[in-house]
Amino acid sequence: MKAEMLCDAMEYIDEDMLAEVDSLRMRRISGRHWIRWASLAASVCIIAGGVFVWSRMYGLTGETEGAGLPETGAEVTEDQEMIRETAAAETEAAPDGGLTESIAGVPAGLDCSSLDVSRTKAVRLGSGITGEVVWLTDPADIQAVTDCVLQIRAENPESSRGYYGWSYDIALYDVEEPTEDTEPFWGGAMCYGSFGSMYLYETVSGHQYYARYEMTGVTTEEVDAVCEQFFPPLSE
Amino acid sequence: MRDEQIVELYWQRDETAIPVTQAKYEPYLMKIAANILANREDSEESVNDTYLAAWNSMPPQKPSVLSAYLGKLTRRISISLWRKRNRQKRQGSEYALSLAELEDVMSHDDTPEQELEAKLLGDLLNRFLHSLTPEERHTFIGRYYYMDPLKEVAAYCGMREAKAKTMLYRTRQKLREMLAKEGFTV
Repeated sequence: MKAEMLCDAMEYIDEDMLAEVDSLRMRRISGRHWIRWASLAASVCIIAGGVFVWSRMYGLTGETEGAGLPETGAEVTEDQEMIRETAAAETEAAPDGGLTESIAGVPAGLDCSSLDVSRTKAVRLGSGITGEVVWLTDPADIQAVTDCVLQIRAENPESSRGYYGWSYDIALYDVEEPTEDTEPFWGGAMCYGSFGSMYLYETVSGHQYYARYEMTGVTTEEVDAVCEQFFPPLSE
Repeated sequence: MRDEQIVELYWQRDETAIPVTQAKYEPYLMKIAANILANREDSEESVNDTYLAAWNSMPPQKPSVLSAYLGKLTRRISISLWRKRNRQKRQGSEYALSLAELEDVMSHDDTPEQELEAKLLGDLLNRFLHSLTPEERHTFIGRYYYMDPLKEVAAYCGMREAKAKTMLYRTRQKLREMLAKEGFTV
C-alpha cells in the first residue's frame, strides 16, 4: 500500500474535523505583523485628522450611522454580524493611510494616497503561496513597493471569516532593522482572484479584526507583479 | 451570501452560482491548490476545474459545509494534476514533502482494489483522528490534508516548529500501529 493511497483516503475525513482546522488556519491571518491603531493614533497627520473630524461630523447626522449595516429589524447577514461582534470602541483619532471611519469601528474605506511612505525604512514582503519572507532595505526596492501602495484604494469591507488565502502581503516599517516582532505602520495582503480584493489587518482598541475590501485603485494583479520580482520564481 | 443560498443557486442551475462561488472562495481554494502544485498557472487551472466540478455535481450533491466540499474537490483535482505533470519525478511542493513523510507509515508495495481500500482507509482515518488529542488532530490534518508547510501548521496550532515536527512523527507512528492492527498492509 502506497503513501499516495493514504493521502487519497484523507478525502474521506469528516467535514467537521476539516472545519475545525479551517478555523485555526483562518485565525492565523490576524497575526502579529499587522497594524495596531492605538499606536497609529499618536502619528495622525493633519489631513487624516481632517478626514476624521469630517467623518465624525458626517456620522452624527446619521447618514453613515452603521455604514454598511442594515436597518434595525432587517435581516443581518453573517458577514455583518461578524463585523458587529468584533467591532471595538471608536478610535480616538483617525488612523494614518487615509482611512475613513465607520461607527462600527471597521474602516469603511481606504485611500493610501495620503499615506506618508517617506517614513518607510524597511519593507517586509510575504508570499502567501510559499510562506517565504523577503525584507527590503534598498531605497529603490522600497520605493517600488511604496509607489504601488500609494495607489491602493479600497472600499466595501466585509468579514473575511472563512475566506482566506492570499498571494502577497506587504508591511511597511519606519525603523531601520525591524524584526518579526516589530509593528509595521501599515499592512495589507492581496487576495487571489481577478475580482480584486485585499485584506487589511488592524487592531482597534485591543480588538483584532480583519476585513476584506474591494480594491478600486490599483488591482491585485498589479500589486502582485511588483511583489513577485523580489521572490524566486515558482517551479514551472 | 450564505452557503445555503449559494448551493441553492447551483440547484436552480443559476449561472451566477460560479461567479458568486469564485468571489467568496477563490483565495481559499487557491491556497489549497498552491500547496500541492507550487505553480500559479496550474493552481488557477485546478481552481477553475473546481468550479466546473461543483457545477456538475450540484445537484445531486447538497453539501452542508460548502468550503469543505469545494476544498475536497480542489484537493482531488490538484493531486490528479500534480500526478499527471510529475509522473516520474518529485518537485518541491508541499504535497511531495508530505508524501515523503508519510512513506514511513506505509510499505512500498502495490496492492489491488485501491479505490475500495481508500474508502476503508478513510473510515479508519476518521476513527484514528477522533482518538487523537485536538492538537495532534489539527497538526495532522493541517499537514497531510491541507498540506500546509510545517512552519504554518506550527504557527496556527500555536506551537513551535520543532514540537509540531515531533508531534507529527509520533502521530504517524500511532497511525502505523493502528493500520497494522486493523490488518492493512504496512
